[in-house]
Amino acid sequence: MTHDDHPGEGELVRLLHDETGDVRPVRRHLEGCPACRERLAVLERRQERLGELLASTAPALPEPEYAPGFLARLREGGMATPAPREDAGDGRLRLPFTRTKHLRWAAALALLAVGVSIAPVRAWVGRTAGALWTAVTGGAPGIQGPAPVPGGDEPTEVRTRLAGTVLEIEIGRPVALDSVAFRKKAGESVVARLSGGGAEAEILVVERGFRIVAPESGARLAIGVPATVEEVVISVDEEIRWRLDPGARADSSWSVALDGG
Amino acid sequence: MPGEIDAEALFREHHVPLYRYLLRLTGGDEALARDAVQHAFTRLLERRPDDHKLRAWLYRVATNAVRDWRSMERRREELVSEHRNQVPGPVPGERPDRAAEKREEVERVRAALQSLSEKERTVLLMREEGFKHREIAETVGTTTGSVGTMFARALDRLARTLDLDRETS
Repeated sequence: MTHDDHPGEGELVRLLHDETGDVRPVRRHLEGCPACRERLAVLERRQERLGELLASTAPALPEPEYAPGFLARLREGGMATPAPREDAGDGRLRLPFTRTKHLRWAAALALLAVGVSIAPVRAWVGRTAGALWTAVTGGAPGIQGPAPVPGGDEPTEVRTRLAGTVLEIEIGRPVALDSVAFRKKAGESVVARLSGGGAEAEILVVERGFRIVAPESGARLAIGVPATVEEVVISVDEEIRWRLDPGARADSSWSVALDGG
Repeated sequence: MPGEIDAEALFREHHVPLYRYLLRLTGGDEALARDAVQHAFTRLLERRPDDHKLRAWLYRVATNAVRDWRSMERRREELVSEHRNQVPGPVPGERPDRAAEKREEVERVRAALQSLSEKERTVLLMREEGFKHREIAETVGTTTGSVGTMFARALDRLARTLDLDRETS
């Protein structure tokens, strides 16, 4: 680096940050270049000033309310135990509703979706979800999330591509649809929109499950979907409404069928 | 293996700084920050990175989660706006005029950070948390050599909006 070959801003920042690499040419240049020394000094002063500003305006950080519940689950080893499976007789493995965590959350999801605007149902969801989700992230009581994706002995990386499309369902009434199949990439689209009764919630597909956002209350709920589950059945009032079948093969898409109510 | 992770200790050690970083990254979206923290630790239980990469890995996973979720949320602006005014409350005994000044300052910094591109903001805030350029580069998806340039550019923008040169001019 010659005297006239001034280092770029990025090189000066690397020097300022003690990054590894050969900074000797830059140092040599600085020895003979007051202009670049001043540039470096300006960068340093700006960085210090920004650090002071960030420190003085740091957000108040009380113990976030999710921490105790999240820690409790960690102490318990998470939700690691895969549920026993039963052959439903049609070649597909089914998980009985009352014996699996997977389906309990699915039921809670359905109840939340259908009953978000109905106080008794919402309360029930809160009690049921308490064992699975811990952090209330919005203003609606009883809506909790997110849940950790169950781990355990089996691989839990979700390789399936979650599916999604927009589906209008009226809250507070039984779902009355024949069947709907979704095929979209994970992380791209809304899987369902729930509306009606003056309330509205959105279910978003994320890489590892669902997120429910109730814009009016600001409530959010994240639900992890275990990769090991072969089928998810969503029940309302103990009646199976939805089946979510991620498919047995990795990289396959979700196909979602809604059974008529 | 998941059983070998002292997840509780890791959570206690890292979750508050990570949450604070995410709050800044998201412009004060508390719900999104909480979700991203938990997402990162949930992933940690499933697949632990090397010890020496653990902290950077947590930040990368959480940062990516924020980016992915935000790209999906059509109502993000409305949700975020609900939280924008949730700045630190007055310290007991603090004068009201000083508290008001502080709120203005917090909002000014928040707005300035949000005026940056997402990558610039991530670079700047991760550096503020002490990460090396290589770790930052892995998170934002760029080369190590570009991080310094992005940092300088972000700092230059903030110098104008936050008047960082005031005391030196």
